[in-house]
Amino acid sequence: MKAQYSQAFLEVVKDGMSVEAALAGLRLALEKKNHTKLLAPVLLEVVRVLEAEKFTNQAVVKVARQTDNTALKSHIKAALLELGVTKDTPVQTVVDETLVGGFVATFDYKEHDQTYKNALKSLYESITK
Amino acid sequence: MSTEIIERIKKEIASLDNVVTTTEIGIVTTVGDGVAAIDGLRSAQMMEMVLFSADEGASLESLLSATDTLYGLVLNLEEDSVKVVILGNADKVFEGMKVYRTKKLLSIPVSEDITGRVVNALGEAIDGKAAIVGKRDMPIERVAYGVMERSGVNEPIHTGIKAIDSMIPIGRGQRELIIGDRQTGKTTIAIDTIINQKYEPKETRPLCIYVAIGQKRSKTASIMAKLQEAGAMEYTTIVATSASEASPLLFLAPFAGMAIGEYFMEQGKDVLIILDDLSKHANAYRQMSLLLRRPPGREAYPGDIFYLHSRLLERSAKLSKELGGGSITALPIIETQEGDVSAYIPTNVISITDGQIFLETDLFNKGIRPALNVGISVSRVGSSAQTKAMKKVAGKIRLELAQFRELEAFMQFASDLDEETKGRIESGRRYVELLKQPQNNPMPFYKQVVSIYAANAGMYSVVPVADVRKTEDNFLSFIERDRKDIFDTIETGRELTDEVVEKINKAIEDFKQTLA
Repeated sequence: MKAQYSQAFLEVVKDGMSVEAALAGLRLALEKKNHTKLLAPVLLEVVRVLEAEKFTNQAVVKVARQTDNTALKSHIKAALLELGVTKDTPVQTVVDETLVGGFVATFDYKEHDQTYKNALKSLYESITK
Repeated sequence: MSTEIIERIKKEIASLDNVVTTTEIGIVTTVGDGVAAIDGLRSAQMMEMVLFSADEGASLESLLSATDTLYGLVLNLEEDSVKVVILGNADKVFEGMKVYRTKKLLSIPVSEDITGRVVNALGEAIDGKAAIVGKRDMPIERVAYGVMERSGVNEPIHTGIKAIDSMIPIGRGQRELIIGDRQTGKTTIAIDTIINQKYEPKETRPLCIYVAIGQKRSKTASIMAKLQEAGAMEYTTIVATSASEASPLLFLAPFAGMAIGEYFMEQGKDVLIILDDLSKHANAYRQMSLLLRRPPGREAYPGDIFYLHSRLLERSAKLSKELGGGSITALPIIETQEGDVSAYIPTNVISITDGQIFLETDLFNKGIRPALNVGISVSRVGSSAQTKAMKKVAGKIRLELAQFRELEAFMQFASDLDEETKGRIESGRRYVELLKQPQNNPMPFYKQVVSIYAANAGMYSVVPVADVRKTEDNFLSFIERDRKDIFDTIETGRELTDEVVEKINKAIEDFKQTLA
């Protein structure tokens, strides 16, 4: 039930209805069917779906320093291509100093990890195990 | 030494460029009660291990100092997510956490070093000794051997308990259920069977695996102490899960035990596995299934509870000669409530196994221990595995006891009974007394053969019922001291030849002289 309501909500929003109007419509529909208790779970499901869509609609590149973004441009481009990112896909760049160096690209539940952190961790594991 | 280390590190650094990984990831969306729902992981397989990663945002230093790795087990593949049971501390899992596929079905590392150790359901040592270095990763779940890969059950596994070895014999590769209410001696029979294996020649001695499913830690510790004291720990592995552990670990424990058993079976060795107990296993699976929101069925157990136990016990087998001839003998235990064997789980396991040893509270309270109900206990395949010597002497005992049970009701009218009936009742009482055995005191089969032969020959009819066991002890000590060749011949030949029979008869006659 929760999934059907959230799917309907998302469809009307995607069709152009404003979020406020869609919310009002959802409330009304739930009240009519005596399903008002479902409002919070439905909205949480909507948020979950939208969060999940972020993973499929948007690529994220994390670098250790802002300058790495340009220094590693060709590597990042190749990695994004490998992950299936197209020209139209928005790419968000995030700086994460804990990566030490290199970059990690994420898109559509796939991850390309070319960070020093990952390499050093592998090195540590191969030596200690 | 330092040059060697430097060279190795240099080599590793040279290969650093290759440490680029493109992997499938998942994101934890909900977590609770040891179960996590994960978005992503589209190609995950059932029973695949996944790795919960706390790497995001963590410094390299803290990553390298982290000692524990948290794994999960994929158990539900749903339309747009997977549900995973967390194998460890679920408190460490949070919403938004990254999860990686390992592309490995759940398996445990096994090697010969595992013998004599206490491990958890994931094969990790929990006895405070060194970590176990595995030679092979044995899958927790696998398809049991097929018909053509098996051979018939034809070798006995001796429990050391006279009542069982004589009347309900168990063969190597058989699955014999031990069933009864609480406090009726189920675990004792299992432990005695393990202890009794020390009397087997080293080359044919089965390796034993005791799987404690949701037992109290104190009980597991006392079992370990008993086995150590009896010198049985050197050929035994304990897979221990306690009642306070997460239900997925309890669910995995018997499968882990089977995986360890299969490692040895595939090397042509014989294995004895005790599953103590499958009632708790069923409860753990029910809990896990309800948390995974699988539909409940009868007694709220999931619909595949029969399949769960059948695929577990089907892995117990006697392999063909071509595959090395190894075997796994399984002794699953089921705890009944108020003696009700018609409940869901008992009937399931009764129908899966090749027979059952039924223990009764009434008999236990009457002092008949092991509290075995001979009437309804059966072994469906064991008789073909019984040694010739035992077969020869055991035939009469079952008949005598069956007749005794029928006449038992008339015992209170003893004065009105004819001599023949009285004789049968007296004989039955002596057999019942003879079959009593103290716990953790299994008897090697060759002693059992001689003792039962002596009973059939009427040796105990000359002593009062209360003195039967004492007389038996004295008689066996007499043979051990003066006629040891009788034991030796039966132990090696496993037959009761005319020559041996003659010697036993002579020994009985001579022993009777000492009684007078």
